[in-house]
Amino acid sequence: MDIHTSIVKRPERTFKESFTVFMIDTGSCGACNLEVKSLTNPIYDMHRLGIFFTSTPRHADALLVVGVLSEKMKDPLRRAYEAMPDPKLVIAVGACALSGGILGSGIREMLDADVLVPGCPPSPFTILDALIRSRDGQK
Amino acid sequence: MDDCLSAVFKIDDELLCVKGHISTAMEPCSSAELERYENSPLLLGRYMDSLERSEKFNFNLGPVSGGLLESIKMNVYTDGERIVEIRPDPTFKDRKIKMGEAPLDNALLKVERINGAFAAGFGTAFCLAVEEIQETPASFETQLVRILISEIERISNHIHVIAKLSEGASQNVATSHLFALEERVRRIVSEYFGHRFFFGVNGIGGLERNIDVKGLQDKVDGIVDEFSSIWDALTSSRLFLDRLQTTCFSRKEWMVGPAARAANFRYDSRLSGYLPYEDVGFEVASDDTGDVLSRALVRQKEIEISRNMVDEICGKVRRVEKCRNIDPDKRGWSVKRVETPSGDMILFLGISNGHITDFGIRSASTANILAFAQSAISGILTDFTFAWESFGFWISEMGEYI
Ligand code: SF4
Repeated sequence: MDIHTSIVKRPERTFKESFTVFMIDTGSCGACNLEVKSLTNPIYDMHRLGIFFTSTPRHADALLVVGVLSEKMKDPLRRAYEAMPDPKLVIAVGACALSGGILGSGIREMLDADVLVPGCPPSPFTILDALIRSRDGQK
Repeated sequence: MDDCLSAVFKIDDELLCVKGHISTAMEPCSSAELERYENSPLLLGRYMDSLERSEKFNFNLGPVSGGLLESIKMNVYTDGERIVEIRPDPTFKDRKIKMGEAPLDNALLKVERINGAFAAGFGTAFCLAVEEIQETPASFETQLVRILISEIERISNHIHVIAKLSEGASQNVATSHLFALEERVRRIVSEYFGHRFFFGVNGIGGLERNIDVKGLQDKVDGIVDEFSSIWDALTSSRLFLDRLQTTCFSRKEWMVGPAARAANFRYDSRLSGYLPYEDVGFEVASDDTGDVLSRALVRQKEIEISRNMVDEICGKVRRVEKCRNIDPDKRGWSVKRVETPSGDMILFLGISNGHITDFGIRSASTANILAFAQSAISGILTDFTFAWESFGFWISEMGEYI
């Protein structure tokens, strides 16, 4: 049985031992943010897997985007992406970031996501599964 | 206090306002009249101005900043370590959600996604407004389920806010425990209501899902008992109390929600009876100091009160069947006030031919953000987190609708 609901188009094995993620909210309802944030609670505890959040894109291996693409967040999104060192991944989390859902347009007009995590919001398990597969080479 | 300004809606180029803490009456108001109210620029969506700020150092925070969950830009002006002014600009992530001409079913999906953390409250306000226009009130059991989901949403949110305050005070064990509790509430919500954030539970005229609450009461009791033991441990920590006590006082008559009640303004839209709260043992929680600790104390008391209401409702209803009722021929408008976990939300809705003609929301975050900015003045930079988190802001609910 395939339990994976996310699509990893381009995994990056460089991040296998340590994977640092910068989250950016380009226009969410807040629920995706909460589900992403919950990966640090003791139930999911992503740190035990060598996955961490960073508060600056300069230290990030992946840009994790939540929300539709609002007009005023286009520039911060572009600047965050450009500030990241190579190699880097873009992970779109939630229907809003993927396609815009029912509220707007997704991030596709600006960035090509390497990892697509569907759901409204995706559960923390789905997000964690996508992060693990993004860095260990499993598509 | 009854004439404080609560909301301003622009409809067909005319300004209409709602005043006081209970009324849903709309009255015309001129721009000149609005100038009397210090919070009117915020209610009109003017978050920034061009004050002279020479001799102040500007910490430019955001719009993307590691410490905050959502995108917001803050100009925090300091004189040394002391905060002298804060100018929040929550417009960066504004989605400008298209509500005009939306069919009602589709609009409900959007309304639930204005603020995902408060989907039960927002969805309830929207359904109540449509049902009032259609003159098709939902059954008593449905109304009880709406209280049930709103109160579980409040428990989840208040645990989250107290976890953030605990995190700010570096109480790491309590913080981890509280975030784990929040996750367990989400799992209970998912098990009983089919979605971790109550999306798709509310329906116009009823509910979109069959609800069976067998066993729910014990699970919610278990969560609240565990929360209480963590709270007791937290409040026996001098470190935690020192960070919260006498930090960021706020006492403005136009504030709403736990922030207002913490300053002994006993406003709560649940008192207005938009749902049968009087039948399930609702009482208003308050405190009198108006600092961050008071705001946390009010939330702690509200978790207990919400638990009692959940127990009461689980004793009254067992199964509620799904049912909906949309009458596309009805037209009219309605104003509803609903107490979301962060405070009173005012929704204005006009419908015609099963579609939306007018839509506006004055959220609790919009009502309180000026109070937050004022409360942080004279505090030091490290107070910022406590001021911000204690109000329970959601930037997502501060957008415009087109
Ligand atoms: S995908 Fe759903 S949960 Fe996530 S931000 Fe969009 S509306 Fe909210």
